[in-house]
Amino acid sequence: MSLETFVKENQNAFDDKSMPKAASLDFESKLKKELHQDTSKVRRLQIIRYFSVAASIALLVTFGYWYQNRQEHIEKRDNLVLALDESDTNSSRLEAIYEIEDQFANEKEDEKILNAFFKILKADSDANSKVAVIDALLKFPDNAIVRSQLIDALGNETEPLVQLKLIKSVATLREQRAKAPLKKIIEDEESLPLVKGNASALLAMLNQ
Amino acid sequence: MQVYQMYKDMLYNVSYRIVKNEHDAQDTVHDAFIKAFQNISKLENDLNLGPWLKRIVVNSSLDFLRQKKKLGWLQESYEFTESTKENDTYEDVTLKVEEVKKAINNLKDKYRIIMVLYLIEDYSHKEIAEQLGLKESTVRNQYVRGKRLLKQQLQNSVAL
Repeated sequence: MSLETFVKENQNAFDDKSMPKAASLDFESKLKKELHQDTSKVRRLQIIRYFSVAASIALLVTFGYWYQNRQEHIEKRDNLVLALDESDTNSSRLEAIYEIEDQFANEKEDEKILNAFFKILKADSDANSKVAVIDALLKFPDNAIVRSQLIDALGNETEPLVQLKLIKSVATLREQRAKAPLKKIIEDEESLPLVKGNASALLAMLNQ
Repeated sequence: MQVYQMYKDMLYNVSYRIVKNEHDAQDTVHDAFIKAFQNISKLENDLNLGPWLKRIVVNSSLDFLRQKKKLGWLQESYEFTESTKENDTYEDVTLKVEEVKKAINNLKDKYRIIMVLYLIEDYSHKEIAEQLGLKESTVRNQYVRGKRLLKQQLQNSVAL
């Protein structure tokens, strides 16, 4: 008989050992531990998933809220700029300027609003509106366009009240480029003595 | 636990034949059961559960030996040039299960493991070669040599 045949015929006799009885308990506790670990892992994953979903929703809601606010803000600005453009009385124009100043007081300069203000400075508007616009523009002393526009206005303005306001503004900005328009005011025979006096004082200060 | 109760002894024997230590065999079988439970979805046919578990236990037992660096002989295995005739009969030896088991256990690991896998666990030479990372011809040769050594042992025990 070959060895292979012998082993095959007595296969069961080779399996004569039995697992010790205590081993079952060991295995049961080992299995529980493993399963518990797996459950903990699953639970941890579930918590992470819930948090991710919650965070995504919160992010979406925040973004939606921000976007809506932004749209409302832009709409309000456009309406105010339009109101400023279309105002046919001095009081309504002044009202629009103050409204813009209140609404956008703490914000970065807005190009659309600035252009609307520059337009008033250049146009043949009333003195009160121009003074209000100059006050509003002075909130952006570091803006190069605002500074240039105020200097240009100083050279073109003929209304004494506005001229005085512009001279004071330019004095605050300490703009050397204001020298030419100041000289123009001083040399203009039609300028009021009060305006000339203020212009001379500022010119002297800038020349120091 | 039902599956455990049903197969634990069979698998314990399989592992014990490879690792040759009761405590290590017990641990290996437990680890193999847990591994099997975790991968139960990979079992395509329930009827293959027994053989599938047996394969896992064999793998785990060999892994255990690898971890314990008890399979170093695999690197030293080389092809023998001697005759590889497999049809040696044991006509001149009276075979007894206990003696065959004892003789197999006394063989060096490089013969014993191959003998166990081929003779008792019903692995083919090719499968053993794949498991151990050896050439099939090396496995075949080592088996033949192991069988001769086994025969010598059995003859000696009869003579005694």
